[in-house]
Amino acid sequence: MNSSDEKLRTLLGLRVVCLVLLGGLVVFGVASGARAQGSPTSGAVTVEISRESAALTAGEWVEFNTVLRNNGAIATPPMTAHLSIAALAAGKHVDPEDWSPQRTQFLSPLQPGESVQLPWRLHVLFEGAFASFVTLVSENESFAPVVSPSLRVQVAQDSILPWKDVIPVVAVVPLFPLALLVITVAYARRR
Amino acid sequence: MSKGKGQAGWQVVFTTEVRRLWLGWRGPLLLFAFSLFLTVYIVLLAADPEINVLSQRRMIGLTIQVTVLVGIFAVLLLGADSFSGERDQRSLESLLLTPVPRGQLAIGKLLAILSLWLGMIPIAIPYIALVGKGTGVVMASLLLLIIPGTLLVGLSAGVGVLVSGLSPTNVVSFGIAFVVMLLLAAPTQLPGSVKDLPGVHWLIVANPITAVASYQAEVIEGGAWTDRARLLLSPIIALVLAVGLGPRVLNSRLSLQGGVEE
Repeated sequence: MNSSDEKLRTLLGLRVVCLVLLGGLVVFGVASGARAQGSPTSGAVTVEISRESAALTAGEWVEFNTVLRNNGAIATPPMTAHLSIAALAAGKHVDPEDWSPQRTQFLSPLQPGESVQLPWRLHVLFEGAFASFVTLVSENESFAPVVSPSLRVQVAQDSILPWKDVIPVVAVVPLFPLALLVITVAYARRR
Repeated sequence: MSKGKGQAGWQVVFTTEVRRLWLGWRGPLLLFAFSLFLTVYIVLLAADPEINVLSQRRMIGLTIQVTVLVGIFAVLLLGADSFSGERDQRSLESLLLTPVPRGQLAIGKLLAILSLWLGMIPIAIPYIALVGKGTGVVMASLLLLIIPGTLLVGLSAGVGVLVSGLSPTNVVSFGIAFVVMLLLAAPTQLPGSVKDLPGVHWLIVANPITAVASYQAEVIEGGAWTDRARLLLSPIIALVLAVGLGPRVLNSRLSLQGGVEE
């Protein structure tokens, strides 16, 4: 074997190595790209709320919307939007099932630049200060939860049965059958 | 008991029983207990911050339902005592010896028992008016109390009198009558999701108490009176059976010892 053949084999070998390295880089890049496409950063998704405060009377409903927008360059995974309600002072216990008939909405992937509006309804049951907010979560583990700004709700008391109406009725009505009882007992004794 | 001049047998029994109920202590005492019960019920509603802001119409429906249930059990108490009570006190023999058909004895006692319900209605009115204040359905609520409510109370009184006529003792009479009415009343406490199941729905329609409760709820929530009027079919049929056939059965089966054998 002469030196030119050796040089040729060396060159071919280098080209094969280069091709293998290049192929490896391409495969790695494609794989990385694919992984990047499947795991968008949740920072690209924003949640806006249509109102940030509401003053209501107990028993009323408040309606508001949240707008979800994908500001990223890739589609989001399917997401779940969940409404939470919290009392802002101790001594109040909010039972979310009673306060909102639909607290969870399931969303299809949002394409880049796409937005979706979600309506929510809240039945405020008693007086106090409360905060309601929407959290976005996904089955995709790399999607960090996104929380909307909160809707601050100030609820004033308004009962169906105010004590000023209740007391006269409950204090007076039993007196009539009581008087009837006393009269009949007295009548029976006199007989 | 002497038959009054020109009065039918049942009228004589009715007059005697009404006097005994209202001039004795039982009628007024039951009315007083009823008013105290409604007082406690309304105070509990007003004191509960979560219930006190729920739908007012729902609260009206609950109040009517509770009023009718108390009426049902109050007349059942009197009905279940009507013949078996006299049997226990050994006063039934003289009643059976009066020249009045036994079916008419039952009719007279039944109507006298229903006079308690007539006393309960005016007591319930201020409470229902209080709960329904400002809704515009107070009059409808009172009609719902009076018309479908009376169907159920009449049914309960009929069941009580029939069971009492056939029972050998008061204990047996109370036991059977209360179990029957409790079984009918219990499904009113089923959760809404269960009530909507297909099989359960038909049971609700067939059960007079749950059918009336559903009808009342529909009307109070704004439904037309005629929309679900078929719900009143089962209470009407049950009332006709209990009040119509009960005295006929007792006409031939009412005896000094009680029991169902000829």
